[in-house]
Amino acid sequence: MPPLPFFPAAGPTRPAGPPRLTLAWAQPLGLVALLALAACHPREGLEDVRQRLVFREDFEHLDGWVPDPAASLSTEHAHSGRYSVKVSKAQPYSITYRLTLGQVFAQRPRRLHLSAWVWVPAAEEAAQLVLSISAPAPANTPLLLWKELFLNDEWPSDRWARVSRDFDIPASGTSSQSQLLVYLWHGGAHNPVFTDDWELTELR
Amino acid sequence: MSTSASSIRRCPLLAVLSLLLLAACGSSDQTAATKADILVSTDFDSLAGWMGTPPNPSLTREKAHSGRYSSKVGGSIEYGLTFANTLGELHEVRVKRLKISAWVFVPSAQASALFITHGGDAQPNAKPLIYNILDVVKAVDGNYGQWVPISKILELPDAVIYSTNIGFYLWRPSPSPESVYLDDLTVTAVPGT
Repeated sequence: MPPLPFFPAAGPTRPAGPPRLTLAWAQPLGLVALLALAACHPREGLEDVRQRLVFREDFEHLDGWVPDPAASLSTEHAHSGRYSVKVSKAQPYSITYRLTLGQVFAQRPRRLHLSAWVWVPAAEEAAQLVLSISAPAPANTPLLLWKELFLNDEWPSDRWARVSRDFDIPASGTSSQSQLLVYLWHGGAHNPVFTDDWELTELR
Repeated sequence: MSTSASSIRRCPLLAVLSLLLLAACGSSDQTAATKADILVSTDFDSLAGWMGTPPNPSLTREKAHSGRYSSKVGGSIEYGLTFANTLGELHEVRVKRLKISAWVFVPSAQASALFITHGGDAQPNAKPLIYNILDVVKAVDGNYGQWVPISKILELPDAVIYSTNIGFYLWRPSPSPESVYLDDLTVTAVPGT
């Protein structure tokens, strides 16, 4: 007989027959009830505790304010509003989100979650959102973290799709003066790629 | 009997519902029109992180009217965050008149800050078509040490075209250790002109 899930394997001392069945079902039922109770909590309440928004950007209010390369702000496609961020062979790097960790985090973040809406023309367009953590500016070396979120991992292509990924932040070398960068890189893509509505949250 | 009674009862309800629907349509149209007339709108919070490197010292968290960030001048900071674009990019139809609205924090009469609207200065260094000064320290009218809403309407010259550049920024004209803060800047096209 296969062992019941969530329980230690039934020992020889356990009485056989109907009482055993009742006991075995009663506890999973309790678990289910607990889960159901947990699900009753409002989602926002959970998010307050577990997630903290670092930034959310729809790129509607940057044009005119940001220095170069503001050319990556495009009105050709947009998931929300008028603007999105475009990279191409001619403009391989987008505008960059850059902050000193201590400005946005009271403690060293352990894990960040990045999500975005992306428009890639075909599945082989391997553009990527890059999240990196580096030593304090202006040197910015060494890189403590450099990870990518590939835009073409999500089906379907040639329409807006949402991509997301978690990033574990290394403990060693990371300080409140470290620089956090998020940007879009054309990478291995051939045709223009668009992204919109970037969101970075801290998970804890 | 019951049918006619219920239809009479239903009629006012239908009238109210259709009125509500009409009202809803009207308000959404109005919102869209208002939104289209906004040329610039920022609380400076959305700019944090996007200003390049080194970070712009005028983008500060020392004081804020809304959110966490504002733009300041004072001390070693002579120029606030600068907005620059062309009129055609900002508004679909020709703009004749602009309204500038913002919240400012002026600590005392010794502070110094002008809100500058500047544009149409095609290279090489032609005289700008648009140059307007709003004295922020005077505009708060003695209400120092608090956030005060200020606004000004300015006329644009007839010579402005689609490609005319226009910029907005806070400027500290004379050295002063006192910081002046600007937040929630909105520039709108004034209709009916």
